[in-house]
Amino acid sequence: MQTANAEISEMSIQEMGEQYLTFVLNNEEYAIEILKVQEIKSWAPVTPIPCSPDYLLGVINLRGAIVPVVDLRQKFGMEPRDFTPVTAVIIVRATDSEQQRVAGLVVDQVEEVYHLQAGQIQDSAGIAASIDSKFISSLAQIDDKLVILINLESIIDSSLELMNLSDAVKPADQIAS
Amino acid sequence: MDELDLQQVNDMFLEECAENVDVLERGLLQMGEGAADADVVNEVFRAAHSIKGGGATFGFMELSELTHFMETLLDEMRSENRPVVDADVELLLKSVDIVRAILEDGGKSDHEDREAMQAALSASVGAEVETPADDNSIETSSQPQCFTIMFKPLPELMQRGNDPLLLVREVSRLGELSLKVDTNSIPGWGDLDASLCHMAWTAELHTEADQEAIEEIFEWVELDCDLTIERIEVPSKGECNAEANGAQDQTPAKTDEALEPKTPSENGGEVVATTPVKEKKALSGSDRPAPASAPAESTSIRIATDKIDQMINLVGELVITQSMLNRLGGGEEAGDPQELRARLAELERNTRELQESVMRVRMLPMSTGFSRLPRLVRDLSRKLDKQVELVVEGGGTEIDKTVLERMMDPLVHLVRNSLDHGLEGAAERTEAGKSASGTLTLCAYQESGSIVITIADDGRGIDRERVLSKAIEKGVAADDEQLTDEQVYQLLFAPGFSTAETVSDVSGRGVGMDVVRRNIVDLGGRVEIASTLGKGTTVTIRLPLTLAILDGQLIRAAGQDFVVPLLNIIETLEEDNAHVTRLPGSGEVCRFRGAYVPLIDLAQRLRLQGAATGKLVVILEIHGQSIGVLIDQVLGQQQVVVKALEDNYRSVPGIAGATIMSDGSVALIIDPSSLAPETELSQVA
Repeated sequence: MQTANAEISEMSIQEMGEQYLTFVLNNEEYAIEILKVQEIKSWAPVTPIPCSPDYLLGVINLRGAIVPVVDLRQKFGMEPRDFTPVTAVIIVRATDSEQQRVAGLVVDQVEEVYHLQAGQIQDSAGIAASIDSKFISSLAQIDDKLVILINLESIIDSSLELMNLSDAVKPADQIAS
Repeated sequence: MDELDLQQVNDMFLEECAENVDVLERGLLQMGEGAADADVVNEVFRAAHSIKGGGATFGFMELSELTHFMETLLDEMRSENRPVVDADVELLLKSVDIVRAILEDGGKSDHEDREAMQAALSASVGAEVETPADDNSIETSSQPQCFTIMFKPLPELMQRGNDPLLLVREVSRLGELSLKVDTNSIPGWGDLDASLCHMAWTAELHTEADQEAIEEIFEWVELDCDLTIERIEVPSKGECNAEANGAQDQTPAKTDEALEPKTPSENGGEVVATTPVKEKKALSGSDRPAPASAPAESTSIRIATDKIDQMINLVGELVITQSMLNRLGGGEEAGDPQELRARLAELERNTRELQESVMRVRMLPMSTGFSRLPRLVRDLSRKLDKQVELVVEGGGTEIDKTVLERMMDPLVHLVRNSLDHGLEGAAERTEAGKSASGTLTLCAYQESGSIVITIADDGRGIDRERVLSKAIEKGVAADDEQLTDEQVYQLLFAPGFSTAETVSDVSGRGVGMDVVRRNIVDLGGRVEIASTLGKGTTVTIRLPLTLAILDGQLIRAAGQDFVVPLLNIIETLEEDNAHVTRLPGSGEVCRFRGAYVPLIDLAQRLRLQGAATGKLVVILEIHGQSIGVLIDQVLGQQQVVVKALEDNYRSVPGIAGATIMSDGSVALIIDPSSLAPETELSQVA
C-alpha cells in the first residue's frame, strides 16, 4: 500500500515539479526532497551514544523507536552552535539497498516548502561549496537565491555506517594501550 | 494484488506443509521403533495426503508426485497389507528429507534425488505386493472390477461443507460409473430445506482401481453418511466391460452425464441382489474412531485462543481501572488518595499481567525444538553403530521463539557430541558393566527466570587429565595452572580444542564447542559441564526466558543513566571498601571477597563526556569471571523493554541496546560481556 501511495503522489507531483523542504545552516539555505521527510520536531535533549563521532549527538525516542540524531552543522564541518528555540530536528527516512532508516537531522531553522521544476535544478559539478561535495546532489535557483540540494542517502550512510569500521576498532585499541 | 495474495496463500501452504512434514517424520520415527500403531500410521498417511493434495492444488507438482508415491506405500501399511519394516521406514524418512529440501527451496524447484526416490518407493511397493497377507491385496491388480456403492449422506452433509456432487465426480474418475439416485426421502415443497440433503445414491462402478481408492474419496465424509462399498464378482466381460480409462488421474468424458440423477441403467439395482458378494466392507459413521488429536504444532506462531482471551480480559480490566483513575483524578475535587493509590497498584498489576501474557504469545514449547532430535539420534546412532535411547523430558516448557531458534544449533551440536564422544559402543559398555544401550536424556525446565536445558548421557565421562594435557599441548592452558574441574571442562569450549583422536564427520574438529558457547552467551545464557569419569556427562544450558524484556539495574556514570542487566550483578561496593589498587601495566584491580578482580571505569571505557565522580564499584559476573565496574551512583531497578540500536543506527561496542524510560527518554543498556577485559585472550597468547 505504501508503494502505491508513493507512486500516486509522485505522479501528481511530476506535473508541478517536486516539492522540497528548505532549511538554514550557517545562513546558507539547503533543500531536501519532501518525500523523504517524515516529520519536523523541535530540539529536545538526546541520549549520547558512547564511542560515536561528535556530529552524532545521540539517540531519541520517537514513539518507541530509537532514532539517531545527526548534527548537520558538525557533519558539514561547521562550528557547532548553541541550540535555540528555532533549532529543529528534521526526521528523515533514507532508504538504502537493505533497509529503511529513520534519522534526525539537526538544522538551525526550517524555512519553506518549494515546488521545483526540472529546469530550476542544475548540476553541482565544479561548483565550490563550503561543504563536502559528496553531500550535495545538485543546486537549485529559487527566486534570486541559490539553494543546495543535499544528498540525503550519502549523509545518512556516511553518518551511520561508514564510520563503523574506524570507530569500532578505536575503543578497543585505547583500552588495550 | 492477485499476485500478492497468491504468494501469501502459497507461503501459508508451504508453512503448513512444513508442519505436515514434521508430523510425517515424527510418526515415521515412532513406526520405526517397532510398534506400528494404527493411529500413527493413519496420522502419517493423513500428513502425506495433505501435502499431496495441497501440492497439486497449488501447482507444486514435484511435491505432490513424490508424496503420491509415499502415500501409496503408506496406504499399504495402513490397510495392513504389509508389515511395517525398517527398510520401508528408512525409505520414507529419506523421502521426507527430499520433501523438506523441496519445501526449503520454496516448493517449486525440483530436487535431483526425487525421481530416484520415487522409483525406489514404487519398487518397494511392487516388491512387497508379491506376498499378500490376505485377499484384499488382489485389488492392486489391474483386473477390471465392479463395485456397487451405496451412498446415503446424512441430511446435514452439505451443511458441513461437503458436496455430494464433487464426491460423485471424483468417483467417476476411477472408471465407468452408472448412477441411480433415490429421491424417495425428499419431503414436499413446504418442508424442503435447501441446505439439507435428502437424496441417496446407488452407483455401479467398473474400474481398475481398488476398493481403497474408492474409500479414500469418501474418507472425509465417512462420519456424515452411510456408505457401503461392495465388490461384485464379474459374471462376464460383456457386462462389466473394462475401459482403459481406469487410471486415477485421467479426466473422464462421462462425468457430467453420470452426475445427472437418472433412472437406473440396464442392470443397476439388480446386480446387488443377484450377484454373489465376495467381500463386504461396510463403513458407517459410528464404528470408526474419531481421528486421534495430533499434538499441537507450532513452527509458526499460532496463538492459542485462551492466550488471546486472557489478553482481552486484561485489556478490559485495564480500561476499567483507567476510567476509575480518570474519575478519581479528573474530577473537580481531588479523590481519596487512599483509593487512588489502590487503583494505581491495580493498574500496575494489570499492566504487568498484560505484559506477561503478551510475552507468552512469543513463547513456544520446548518440544518444537526437541522434536528434531529423535531423527538426529536415530541416524547418528546407526552411523556410529551405537545403541542409544533418547529420553526427552519437559517438552512443554515454554521458551521465547527467538531463543529457541537460536539455541537449536548449539543443542544439536551437543547431542552429536554426546553420541560421538560421550556414549560408548555396546561392547565397551558391556565391558564396563553398563547396559548395552546408552541413554541420552534431554530435559528442559524453568528455574527462577531462566530456562534450563540439560543434555545428560551415561557414557564414559570426560577424562579430566586428558583434557588438561591436551589443553597444555594446544597452548590453551598453562602447564603450571591449578584448575578446578569446572575450569578444566570450560577448556573444552576454547576455540580449536578437541580431544577426539580421530576426526569423524560427526564431530571432532574442535570448531563446534566454542561456537556453542558463543551462541549461548550471545543469547545471554551460559553453559556448564559436569562429568564423572565412567559415569557420564551432563551439559547444562541456562537461557533467559525472553530476549525482549530484561530485569535491569539503573546506574549513573558521568551524569548519564545506563541499564545493567540485573542477572550479571553480584554485588555493589563503595569505592573506599573496594581497595582499588593500580597495577603497573595492567590497569586497576579491586578487592572482592578476598580476591583481586579487574576494575573498569565505565565512564572511561565508554569515553563519556561528563564528569565522573566514581564512588561505587559494581561487581559483575561475566562468563564465570568477576570484574569490578566503577560507576557514580546506583538508581532503581526495573524491567526494561530491549530495543535494538541497529534498527536505525548500528551496533555500538559496549552497548547491548537501548530502552525507553518512564519519562520518555532513552537509556542505553550496557553489554556486560563486552566490558570484560581481554585478559582471557592475552593469557592464551
